[in-house]
Amino acid sequence: MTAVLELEHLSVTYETTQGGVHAVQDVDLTIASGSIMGLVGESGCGKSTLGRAILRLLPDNADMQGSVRFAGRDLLSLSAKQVRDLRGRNLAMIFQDPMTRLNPLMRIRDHFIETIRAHDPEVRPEDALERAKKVLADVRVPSDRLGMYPHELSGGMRQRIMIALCLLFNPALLIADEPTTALDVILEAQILQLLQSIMHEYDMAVLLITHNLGLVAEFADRVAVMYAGRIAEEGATVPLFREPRHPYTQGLLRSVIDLETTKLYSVPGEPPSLLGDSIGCPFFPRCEKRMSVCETVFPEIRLVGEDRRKVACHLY
Amino acid sequence: MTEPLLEVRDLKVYFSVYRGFVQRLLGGGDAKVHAVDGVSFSIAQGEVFGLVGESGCGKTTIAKTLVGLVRASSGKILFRGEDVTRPDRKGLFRVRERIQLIYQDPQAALSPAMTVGEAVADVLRAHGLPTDKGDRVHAESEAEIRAAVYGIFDDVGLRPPAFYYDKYPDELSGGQKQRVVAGRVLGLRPQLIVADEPVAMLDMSVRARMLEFLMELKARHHLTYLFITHDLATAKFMCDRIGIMYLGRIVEVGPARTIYADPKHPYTRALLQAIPIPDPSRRSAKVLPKGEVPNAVWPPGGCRFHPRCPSALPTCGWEGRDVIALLEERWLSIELAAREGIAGPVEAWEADGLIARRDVGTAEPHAVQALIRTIIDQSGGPMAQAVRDIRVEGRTVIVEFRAPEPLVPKEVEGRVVECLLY
Repeated sequence: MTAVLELEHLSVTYETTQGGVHAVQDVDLTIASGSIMGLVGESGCGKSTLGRAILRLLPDNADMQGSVRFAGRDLLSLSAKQVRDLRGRNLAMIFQDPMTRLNPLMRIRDHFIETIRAHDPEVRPEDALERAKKVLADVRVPSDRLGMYPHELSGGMRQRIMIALCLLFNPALLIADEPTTALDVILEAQILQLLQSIMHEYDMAVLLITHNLGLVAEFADRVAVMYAGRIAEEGATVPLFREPRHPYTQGLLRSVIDLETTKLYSVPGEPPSLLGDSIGCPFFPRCEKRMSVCETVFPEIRLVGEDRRKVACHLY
Repeated sequence: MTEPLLEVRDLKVYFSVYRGFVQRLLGGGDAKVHAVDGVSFSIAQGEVFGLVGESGCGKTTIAKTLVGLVRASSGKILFRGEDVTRPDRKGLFRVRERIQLIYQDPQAALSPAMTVGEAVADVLRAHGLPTDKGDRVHAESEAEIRAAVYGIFDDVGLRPPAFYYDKYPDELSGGQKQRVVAGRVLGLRPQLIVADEPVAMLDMSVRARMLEFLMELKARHHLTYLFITHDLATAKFMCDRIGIMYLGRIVEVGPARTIYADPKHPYTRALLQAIPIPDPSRRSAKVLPKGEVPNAVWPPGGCRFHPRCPSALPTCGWEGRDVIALLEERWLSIELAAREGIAGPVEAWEADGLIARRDVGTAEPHAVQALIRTIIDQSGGPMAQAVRDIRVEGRTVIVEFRAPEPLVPKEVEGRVVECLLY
């Protein structure tokens, strides 16, 4: 297994007038090339910040610490220009709402031409369009859509076009931040099937950021569960779902409502505020298995069980 | 059987589509969004009836029509037997005391500039305080209103009420805001609550709590719910009966237990199959419907699901534009598109009801005719069998389909299905 991306001790703090918001704290995460890493958590847990941090797409008030190793380089030490060159070429990202990511005043063709020429200014528009047609065929979009404006296209088509734009330079890693949350279940399944087939064709790894545990169970090779800016548990998908170890993962899995749900469950309480410094385990106030140590000592990541799963909990 | 609390009969809601300012002035243009296109259902007192479907199927339009936010184009809405389809101003005021709506996004439903206590008090000032006799009286004093709001907050679990009264929506969590909205609704003592995706905006770990809360309220206040959702799993948990909607029609309706145990309509089956299962040991290859939900301005002929349906029959409503869709799909392969160049491009084809035609220009029409015949035959499926003939008229090649069989809702094993398979 070769790693396409390695995060080490990555922390992101937003400086606000009320103090520092610790959106991501001390995250270690490795994504193997050609694999799907599912990053799950609830709103505000820092999963989107983590995705954007990798691409250095954070606002100016975000302070980043640690390292993001990609293709032998630490992205945090690169200049803005060097990062821009990697973005879209080696690292790409798709977002939740494809409507707001396409320029409403530009035809689809111009999105492709602009993207290609941003990296290769010499390419003639005609040649850029030929490349566009090829990637569009890969995402099963008819090429006459190139002449249309984003509003003329359905949500599913737009997300396919976003994916096609990402594929232009055959990136090694695609970060998909809630790529199907704005879509209906059938479309969601279609888009993820598409992503799965394309990643094999393009030999691309995917970081799938989502709140939907079902999607992760169906598509991801490994899963990282995030809570309050930290990784609570990380491991291979099958054992993690079979035997979740962190009480938060257990609660999250129990709270999923699926067709077999006979009894509703919800994790008590609400997620904590990430403002200011905290001590102890962030899940402590909501945890049904809390011990006295949890309140004062932060649980370090430990490797637990046969699958050597990473778990941040004092139970292990 | 007792009279239903709510009965909706053949409800249609169309929205006109105007192409621009001039047309808006002059009128004309018959393009209409068929948001709700002939929907009938009834809800019994004390029941939870679910309307389930994907975005754009018309479920929210029905919710809005019930409370008079949108006007019905035709059909009837009866509340306890009384016609409330097109109420006047005063009638509307009365309707909304009996039917209330809980929206998906509590943040958007609450004014950011009003404390949540005032948001509820405002409603009580406008409509009066409900009494135990079932009527309403206007409050004598502000203190009385404040006390009533406290009572409501206590009822919806915002305790202590005095602590929450002066909060702004921004200071509350999503779940708490949804409780405020529920409280504002309950202040009117409605008989029917339309809950439009009430938990869609909430995080999974707290969603269950909101659903339990809604069920508690229902029991405590003898409510009836119309529960609108895109999530079949939530609907299964909440609803006594459900109706599955697709493009403005109910395609399957019946007791939830019956439908989940053995879904009959291919669309219901597709929806159920598409739900991701949070168990990686049960991954399986899914056969998904093709494409996306079509535009509701020109819904497909015959059964609206036929172009995507994995079980479609030759009689389901095949028409000219299905040929164009087939060509488009086929010519995604650049190689095939080049080889079959004389039949294309896709844009040269034009659909008109049961007919698809193309003026071949300088090409040889009989060659195009033969090629199209081969393409359609190769597609295999029910569409090929639905073709009446492929002919040449002058320089035009025409594909014509047989008329579809009429589609009527049928009673099938304890539920009603609108599908020719049965």
